[in-house]
Amino acid sequence: MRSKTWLVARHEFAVTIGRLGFRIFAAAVPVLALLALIGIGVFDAVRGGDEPSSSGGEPTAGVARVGYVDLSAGEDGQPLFMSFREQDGVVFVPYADEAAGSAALQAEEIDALYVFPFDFLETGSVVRVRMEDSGGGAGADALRRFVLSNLIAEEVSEQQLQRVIRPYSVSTVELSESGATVEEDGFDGGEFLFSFGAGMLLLVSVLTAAGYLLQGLSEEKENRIMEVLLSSLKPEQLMFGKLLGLGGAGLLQMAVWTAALVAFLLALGRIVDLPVELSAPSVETLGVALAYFLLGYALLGTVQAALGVVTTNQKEANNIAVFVVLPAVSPMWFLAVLIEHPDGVLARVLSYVPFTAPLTGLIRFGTGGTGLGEVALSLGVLAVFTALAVLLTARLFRAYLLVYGQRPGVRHILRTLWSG
Amino acid sequence: MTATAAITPTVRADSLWKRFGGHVAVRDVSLSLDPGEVVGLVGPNGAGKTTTIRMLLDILRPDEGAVSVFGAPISPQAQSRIGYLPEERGLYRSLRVIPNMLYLAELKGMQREHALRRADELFTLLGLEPHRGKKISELSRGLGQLVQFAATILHEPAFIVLDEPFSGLDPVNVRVMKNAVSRLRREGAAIMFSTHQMTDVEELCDRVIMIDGGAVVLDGPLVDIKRRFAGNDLFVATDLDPQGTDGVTASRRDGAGYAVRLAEGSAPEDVLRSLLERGAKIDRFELATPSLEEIFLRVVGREQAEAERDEE
Repeated sequence: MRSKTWLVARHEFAVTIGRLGFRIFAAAVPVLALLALIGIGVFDAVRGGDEPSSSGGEPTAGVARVGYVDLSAGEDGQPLFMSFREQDGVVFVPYADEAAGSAALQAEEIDALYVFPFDFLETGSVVRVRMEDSGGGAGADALRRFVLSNLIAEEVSEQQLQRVIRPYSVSTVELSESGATVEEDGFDGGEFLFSFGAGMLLLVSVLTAAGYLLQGLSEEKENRIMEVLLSSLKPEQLMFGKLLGLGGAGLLQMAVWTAALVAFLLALGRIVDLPVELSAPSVETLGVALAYFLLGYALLGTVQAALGVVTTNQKEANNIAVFVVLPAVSPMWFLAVLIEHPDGVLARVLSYVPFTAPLTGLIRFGTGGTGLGEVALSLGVLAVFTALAVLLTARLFRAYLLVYGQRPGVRHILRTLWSG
Repeated sequence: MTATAAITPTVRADSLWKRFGGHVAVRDVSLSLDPGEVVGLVGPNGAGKTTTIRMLLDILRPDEGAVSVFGAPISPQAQSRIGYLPEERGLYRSLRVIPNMLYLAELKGMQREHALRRADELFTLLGLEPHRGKKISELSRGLGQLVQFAATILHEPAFIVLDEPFSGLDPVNVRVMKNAVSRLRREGAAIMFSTHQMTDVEELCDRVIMIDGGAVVLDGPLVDIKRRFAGNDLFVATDLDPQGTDGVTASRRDGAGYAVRLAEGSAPEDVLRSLLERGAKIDRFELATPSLEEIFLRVVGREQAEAERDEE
């Protein structure tokens, strides 16, 4: 005989992902990310993607060949731009004059044409020619590298050239009162953005799944199907089945959102210059996000299930659920402090408070404010608290699943929690 | 010498007690059902019927006493052979009929394919075929009730509990469901049937268990109970008013005959003899048995009166 817990889980999963609301909600993030990318791409193209930027970035995605006409002349009378024609995947194709370049542009052999005038050295002016309504152009960084390399590569060493292109990268060393020094991990913008975004999505996903759990339980109590279910299975099987099924749905939603977030961040980095380096999240970050999701969902879902059992209808349950949701989102109120002092007292405390641990832990891990050891401890505390919550909620399930129409008193609930 | 094979009761409860706080909901209830038996569980509101049923189904644990189903303490395997139609009915309103039934059937251990085949049979039997693709929210209350009845018996249970199964049904669907119940009994299922409609109990049940104040106040075959409560009343279809006949204290016209009250210590056969001696022509002479409703009112009324006297 198949496990009844599994049957309940499968049913809950199927019902949840079958909800129109769930599908719309799950698709919302990828769609919004796509729209955002399109919007940013259009804005960047309109603004002009070749404005110099203060830091590095990838060339514009999809631009492989741009043309240029070099009318300039150096002090020796020779043209300035004769070398370094491949920069960051962008090929700079020389043309003898603007007419030839324009013809190539019209023939779509190149995406844009840059004309360096004879007085370029004096003025720094460059004319970009592109087809009407197109966003063609070399990425700002590629053009900058092309120009700088041709101007000074022969005058300086390769290392000096790199320092001109990207002057410095700051890392911080902190001195403790005892004189010991601790080198901070380099701030990885991609990791931080992923962790922060994943934290937010985790919270929304967890609260959504837990909300469905609360809704389902209230419905089953209100429409009295609970009694039929309990003639076929144990309250604990029902509870675990619901947690698993809705957790699976939440995990699916989280996976869709995470994939969308990662794709968005990577694509964003290729379209525009960001003030931070972006990279795909590491396996550790993904693992930490998954662990916090699972335990965070298990805790919040269990507590929401408990609320669903001791309340008489969905409206009442939703009202009380606010007291669970607020602590879970509370790390957002201290976001600035958490980012500025990810290893501070507040950050540490919030990492060990079960309801605030998932979001805090992810933000701290993303900013490099905590190591895997501390994350493991935070997850351990969360796991123990969650196990306790599951145990106590199972007692409430046994006692109150068939209590209709009247909410048990607080003292009665406490007595049930204590004695089972 | 003949040996009688002992029949294992389908369900048996021994001295069940259940308290909620200071309130005793069920006190010392013992009962049993045999295969193929239809038992009516009757009693006033709040008598403890639902609590008793929940303990029989292991939804609630008794504080004292024990329940055995199919000869052993209730187990997941035993649960899969039980069908329960609760008084407060409900299915997943946003789901269609088939997924609702499949889910409940799978929880009873049925394979999906088997459940689907069996659902087809029941749809035909209960006239639900046109509604199989509808959502529960699209069905009328009566049709929803028939669907839930179908879900209750889909897995071919050997012990079925029907709590007020006919409430809200039109006469046609009541007949459909009663026929289905009769069929289940013929197939050997033990059926516990809780209702306030005494006429339904009289029509369907072999035995009656009456609960009041959490305790069993009557338990026995319907015929025996009626005989026990028959008392001193007769119905006589005759051309002569029995008033004045020896052993008769009162007589009144009742349709085509007379309702006759016997004197204390008189036997019906003495009255019959006296009437014949008086030259009466008799078409019918029978012991007037009370309806179950009358018995119910007498027993529950007496219990209530005793309870009130105890309180005083």
